[in-house]
Amino acid sequence: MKIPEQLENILLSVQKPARYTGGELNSIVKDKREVDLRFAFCFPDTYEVGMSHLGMKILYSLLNAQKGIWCERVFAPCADMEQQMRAHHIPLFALESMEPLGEFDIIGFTLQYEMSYTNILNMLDLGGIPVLKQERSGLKNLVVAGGPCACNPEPLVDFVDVFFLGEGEEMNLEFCALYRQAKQQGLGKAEFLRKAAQIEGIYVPDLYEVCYQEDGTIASITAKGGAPAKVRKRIIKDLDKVFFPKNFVVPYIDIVHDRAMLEVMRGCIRGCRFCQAGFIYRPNREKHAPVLERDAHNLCESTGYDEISLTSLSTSDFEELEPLLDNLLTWTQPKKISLALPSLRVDNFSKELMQRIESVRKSSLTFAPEAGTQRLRDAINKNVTEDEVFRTCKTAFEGGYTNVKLYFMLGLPTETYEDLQGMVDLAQKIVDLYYSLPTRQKGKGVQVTISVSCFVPKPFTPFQYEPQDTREQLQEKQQFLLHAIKSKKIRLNYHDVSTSFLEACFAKGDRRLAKVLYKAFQKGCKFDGWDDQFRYDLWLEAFAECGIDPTFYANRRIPFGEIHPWSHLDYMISEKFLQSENQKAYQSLTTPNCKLKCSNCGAASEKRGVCVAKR
Amino acid sequence: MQNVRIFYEKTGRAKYISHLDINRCFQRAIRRANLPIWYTEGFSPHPYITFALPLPLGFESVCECLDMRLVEEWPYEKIKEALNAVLPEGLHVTQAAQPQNKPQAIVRALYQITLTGDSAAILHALDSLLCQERILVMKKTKKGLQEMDIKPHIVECTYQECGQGVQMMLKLPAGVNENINPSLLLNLLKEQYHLQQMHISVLKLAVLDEKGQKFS
Repeated sequence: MKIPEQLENILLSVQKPARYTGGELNSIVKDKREVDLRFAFCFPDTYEVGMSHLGMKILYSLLNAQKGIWCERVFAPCADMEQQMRAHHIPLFALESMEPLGEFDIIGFTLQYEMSYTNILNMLDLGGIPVLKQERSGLKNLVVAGGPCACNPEPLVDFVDVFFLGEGEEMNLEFCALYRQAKQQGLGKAEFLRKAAQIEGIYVPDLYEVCYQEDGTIASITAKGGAPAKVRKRIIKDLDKVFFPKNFVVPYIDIVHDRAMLEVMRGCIRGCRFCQAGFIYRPNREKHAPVLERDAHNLCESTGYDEISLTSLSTSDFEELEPLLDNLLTWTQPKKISLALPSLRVDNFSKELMQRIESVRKSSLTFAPEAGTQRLRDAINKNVTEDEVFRTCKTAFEGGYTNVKLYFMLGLPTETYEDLQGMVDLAQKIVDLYYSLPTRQKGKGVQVTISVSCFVPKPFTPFQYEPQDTREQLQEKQQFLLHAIKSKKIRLNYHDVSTSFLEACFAKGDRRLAKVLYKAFQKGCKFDGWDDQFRYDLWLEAFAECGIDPTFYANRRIPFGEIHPWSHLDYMISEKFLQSENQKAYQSLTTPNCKLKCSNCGAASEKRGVCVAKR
Repeated sequence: MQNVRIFYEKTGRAKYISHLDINRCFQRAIRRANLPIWYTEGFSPHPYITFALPLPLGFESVCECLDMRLVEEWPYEKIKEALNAVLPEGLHVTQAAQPQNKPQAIVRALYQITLTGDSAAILHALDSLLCQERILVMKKTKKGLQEMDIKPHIVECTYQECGQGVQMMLKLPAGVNENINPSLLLNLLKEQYHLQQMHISVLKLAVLDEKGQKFS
């Protein structure tokens, strides 16, 4: 029986069956006899999360624009569906052909967050594909992965054959071309991998040998088989010329980000010291307004979406933002299409900007001061002052907003209880500010939400050397905040610290963690990023059974000069720069943003974007 | 302002799209088709469309119906073609026309039900179930689950063996005042006669008014 017929018997017994049926507008169905490369693009989370991801949409369209390649989508089934699939022996399938994962030449995963790793293993298993790469001998079912977490993919090396470092548009096509050639020539897997390792940005972990010292730290990482000593990430040199989809697959069910998305730039000029994205996507490069306007128009016409979101790491830093918004508004307003700017900074949020984004529909306001005091904000290089926060809130309140959400991070390096008290004080001052305004709407209260996440030190950031606070320290800090808030106008959101602890382990983990991951998967861990499915107890068992101490990875300070598990990967950021940034944090010294002054991080070697712009 | 009634089919895997999602799906199709639709006013303007009756998840239908308003007059044939050019797989407009009656005029619906499985057992079960004096099911009402005898509500029910099972034509009350979902009867059949392996597929064939005429 084919999969669609088998599904008939189970789909009405699972939640939201339209997650699993395919057939959405703009999804691409090709004749499999007319393609010689079938690519399964797998997102290791639910349909709703994966379908919201812009990178997947870009690569899906890009690959399908090639004659001879058919790229399909695969998502992780939810627990109820997985249970039914396993009970009825239905393998994990792709949504276009409805054929099992085993039919695919290349199985590609996107690594967006560490807590999705067990889902990768589980999806391979559900697809009937051996989870361990050593059990996959042929060229078929090659497992590849890319995305931000590929900057330290070491905990995944037992499962994934090839990693793609950096931006994927050009690299994917080069890799696929080589694969098609290899398939035609009947090359073996090992031979193909050696050739692939010559493509810039392609990291084949099998070609690197890691030796350890007695204390558990790394002694050496050695390349073999002609692979480069360091694998350098890829970047797109000219964003105006890079491929961008003319349409998106339009889902039936409500997904997380259900709108047209434009990527206005890559990279960020700011250099907040905790932020991995702020470093691994350097150098900052912008698209030009006319290109974005064309893309916005194409997407709205082909999808029927009524909202366009201008995405990037910090959209208000985008040079041509105001002219772009003005041009967009000339046609979006009559069509009742609203504009959303999800990543605004408090220091350059203007009244004019606010009026533009709310011209059709009003959305809520969210800001990220990240820390409660100026001292700590300087230490993390979040160059935002309290006055700027107040000015922004005042603008927002006067514009009729009554809800403000503030994002903070707990456990940042150099943090003290004074900094925590600072968060609460800041929120209280915002509440007071609201009531001091004569313009406020009568009878309407204000709600300030403090959303606190736990700091996770990440590779390629100045804080990569830092230990994470222990679970106990983080819990104490959460309790402190809970008790420090006296006002009903202030709401506190926080998460379980165990997830952040594991995130820290895997973010900075080495190859030895692969066996812990495998064990956790065997014990049934999956959807670890979902509070209702996270099983910390099983994870602890997995670590214990492997004889590995997780605190070695999460809570240990790494001395300058130690070899990192990711030391053979080159993200264009020099170690010297990261060390100097780390030291500046301890002196509460800020570093100016890339537009003001080059701080010699290393990315300027590419001579692109902000690095060569006039200052 | 032009009032438009759209009749459409929802077949194949589109049957797994929920009613709420169909609403959004049509709003987007209307935008893609550039229909000059009337938007609701107020805080969050959206294209104004109303559905005559929700279709339960998993049912196919050839008689779904929605109403909308256009701020500019368009020929009905053009509306139909414009929508069909942009609708996803499984959704197809069969007619666009001026509404003749209010949606409240719908009082019954006709379903074609295919029961796949051991046809002898299914036929026997149906014979036995339908000659019961009372057919008691649990129906969700505003007051919660309530027991109800649906036998007096069955307007018409015929069935015969066909292919790998039984095909049944079932006419039941449908509409704003009284609505009976055929699943009530079908699930009871399945449970009471232990027909766990039986596969049920439901196709809504027509919505009818008081006189038994097709709603228009």
